[in-house]
Amino acid sequence: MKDELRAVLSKLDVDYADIRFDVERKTSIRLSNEQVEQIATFSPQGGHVRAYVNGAKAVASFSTLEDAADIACQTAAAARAAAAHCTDPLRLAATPPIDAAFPIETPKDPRTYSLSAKHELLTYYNQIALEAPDVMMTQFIYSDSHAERVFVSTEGSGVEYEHLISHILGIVVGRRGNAVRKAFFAVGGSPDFGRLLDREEVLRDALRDLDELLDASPIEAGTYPIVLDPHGAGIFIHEAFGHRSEADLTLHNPMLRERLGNGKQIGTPLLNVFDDPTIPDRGGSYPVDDEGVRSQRTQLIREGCVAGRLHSRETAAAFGENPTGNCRASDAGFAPLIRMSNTVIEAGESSLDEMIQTVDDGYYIAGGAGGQGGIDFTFGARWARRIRNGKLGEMVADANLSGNLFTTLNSISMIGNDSMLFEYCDCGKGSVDGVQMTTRICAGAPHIKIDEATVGGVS
Amino acid sequence: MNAIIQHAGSVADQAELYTRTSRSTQIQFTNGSLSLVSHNDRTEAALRVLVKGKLGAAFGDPVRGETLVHDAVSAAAYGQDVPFAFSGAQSFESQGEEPQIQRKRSAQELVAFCAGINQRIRSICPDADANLSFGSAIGSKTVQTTAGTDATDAFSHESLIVEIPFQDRGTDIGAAARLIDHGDLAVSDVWLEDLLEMRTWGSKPSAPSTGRLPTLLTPYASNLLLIALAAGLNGLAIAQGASPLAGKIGESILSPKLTIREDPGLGQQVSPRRFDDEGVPVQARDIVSNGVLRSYLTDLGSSGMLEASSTGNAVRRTLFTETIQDVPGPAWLGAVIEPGPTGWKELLAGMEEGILVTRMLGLHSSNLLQGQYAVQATGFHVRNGKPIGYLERTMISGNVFEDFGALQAVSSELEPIAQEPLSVPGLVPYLLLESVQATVG
Repeated sequence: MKDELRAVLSKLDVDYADIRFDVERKTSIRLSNEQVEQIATFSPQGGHVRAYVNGAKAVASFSTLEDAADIACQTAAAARAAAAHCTDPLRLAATPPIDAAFPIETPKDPRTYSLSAKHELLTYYNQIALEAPDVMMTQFIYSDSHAERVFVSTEGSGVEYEHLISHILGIVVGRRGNAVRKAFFAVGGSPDFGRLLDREEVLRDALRDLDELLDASPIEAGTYPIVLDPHGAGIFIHEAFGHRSEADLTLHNPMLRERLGNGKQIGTPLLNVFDDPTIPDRGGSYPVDDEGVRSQRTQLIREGCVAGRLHSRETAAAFGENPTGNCRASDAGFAPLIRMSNTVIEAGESSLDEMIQTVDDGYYIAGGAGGQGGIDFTFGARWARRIRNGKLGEMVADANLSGNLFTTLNSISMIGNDSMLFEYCDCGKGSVDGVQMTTRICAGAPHIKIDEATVGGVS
Repeated sequence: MNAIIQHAGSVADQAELYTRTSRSTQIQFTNGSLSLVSHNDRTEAALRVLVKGKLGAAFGDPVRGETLVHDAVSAAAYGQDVPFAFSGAQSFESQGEEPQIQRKRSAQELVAFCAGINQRIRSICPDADANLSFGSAIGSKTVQTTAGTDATDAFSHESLIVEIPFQDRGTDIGAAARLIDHGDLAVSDVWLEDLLEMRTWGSKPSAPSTGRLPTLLTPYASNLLLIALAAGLNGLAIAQGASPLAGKIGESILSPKLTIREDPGLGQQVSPRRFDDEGVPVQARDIVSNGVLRSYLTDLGSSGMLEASSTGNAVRRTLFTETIQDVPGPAWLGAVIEPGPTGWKELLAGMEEGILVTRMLGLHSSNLLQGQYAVQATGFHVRNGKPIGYLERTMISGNVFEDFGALQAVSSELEPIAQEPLSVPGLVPYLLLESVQATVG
């Protein structure tokens, strides 16, 4: 396939072009209560071409390899036509061409397990949830995906690489009186099917939390000191800062470029943050991005100061910096855009007990149930617990937090000594082709204390 | 009969083939300069089969029909009995209107159109650097079953989003507006002038006090109500008893000022539909009449559990995605919130102290099934009937059934909303709520 695609590129009259072709195989099993909602296999494939002429860019997606030559010619023609209207020409930062293959090896490959074995495993977890008190609805989803990708460019790159992932997501809805609350179970998010096995304790912990949550009162709205658990802190750094480290989201905002310039103090000196797709076997791990750039660790915050940002080749050229290998696409239907990989707050020195003891009236916030980030950010917690006079109290429900990038990172006053990376997580980000929902990421953090956070809830 | 459905029918008891084709073009101008021309040309198919009452499914390119059939039948071996059959022969003549398909404009035409918009913006406001995204799409959805359904709805629409950063750039939002229509979109001077006026509202941040505030929601923000209702009206949540709306048909659940219809066939919808994603005819009907609950949203699966007929509300989508791989589930296909008598600018002028909410961040992390929401609000602080600055660090939170139970007014304007991530398709007005809990950090 690499040679066929190279032959297509060789006929284009462009400054630069690349083609990515995906052949994917997926499995999905969805259970809802006692019912099998869906057992399905997917076999999508398709390609994506990018062409640059005189600083103008055109891109196109297509379904079959046979279409590649025609679509590539049309895309090149569209880029030539667009150049007349391009007053701010795009440039691509230099990167060494790669001609290599990056196969995946994993101890327990999900492709070697039968549909029957996957179904049995999911049914086992679903049954545990159904037997918990006051559970009225379950939804358990098993997914795996194996993608073989080929990337070729007019600069000589020819990369064959794979993506392999398997995960289980469970949502358990309980009802007690008028209270309807949810528990989440998420395991996997790496190539290793073994991470899905023998995880009953994770599920039973979530069910115990649900049992307590069903008797919990809604959280009271206000501004409080909070302690975030590692999962919540991982979501926090992803939403509160991570998206603003993606250079495409600051490129055209001079105020943000100034405030997020290298060396600018943005947070407490205790804070160190990096993004690293080379960490093995995590949701955001990969050897090469979808522009053919090798993955690498990028320090984003060092001792509270901006130390770097995540780039595509386009934004790296615009900022005069080096590509970081963070330009990724969910699948062939999308152009690649800058995405976080494994984004991590480095561990500090405080213990959890020390953090709790410093809070007179606040909350311990646990887990993440989704979020959204800009200069202002928000995310939902799975549960929270009141802290009074330095002691953990009763559980509360429906905790959602929001804040502002520039004030909240400075409001971090303690960082724990207990860092961990969480498992499966997807991240969505808008692009001209729509929202790329299925780009896998991972985040990690220790416990952190924030002196002032806005909590939405009842009045 | 399509060869795939014919083959599937020969090896399975029943089969349903859903095919979607789309050809779309996107043009993007950034800071007035053309930054991207994008084409997307896709055809995808989803096959569901019933073998001895058990359901299996497969997805992929319809060119590889043999693989689809083999995979779906193999999957059915692990399925369970389902309480429904695929839809039978249907007549769609009396359902809604025949969709009108516009010609898809070429990329060159779209580029020229956007360049013209840029020029008009510059002529009114020379310092405005506009970001434009123009999308044009045509395509079709087809459902065929071995029981005789053979239905195709074509669609075509164009959408324009214009964003102009506020002058002080103190935020990553700006004045933003969106137009969407079946095709051959026209941009009026009034629309552009309103957009540029909005830019003047954002010359500085302005924080309201924490507490309960009158809140005016734009049509996109009003979607909060429809998204929360979609969770509660979902036939599966009703059948499983998880919804607080279970058993409440005939009871008052919202303000008497609210009448909400499901009317997907209406010509003013962005993508009028005559049948749902399972080939069942859509039903125009009241869901909420003057605040009283009248109907749920069901698909074949949930209606089977409820021992009723499907209301024709099956959609292959989630809160974020609409893909061929999403399991069909009950959802709005085209909601209509009945308009009120007063224009939205008059509603705004009547607010002494309050907020105008244009967008919400983080809606998906709320407990929507129970009507709870807690989101970061984007929009403007309003005083004496005028926006005086953009919102910063403002969360709004509460319960949909309580806050929309105390609705003050519905605007006379309806805006079309497309099926997109975190939005529900329909025709939606501005909604003025008596008060919402705002927490300002």
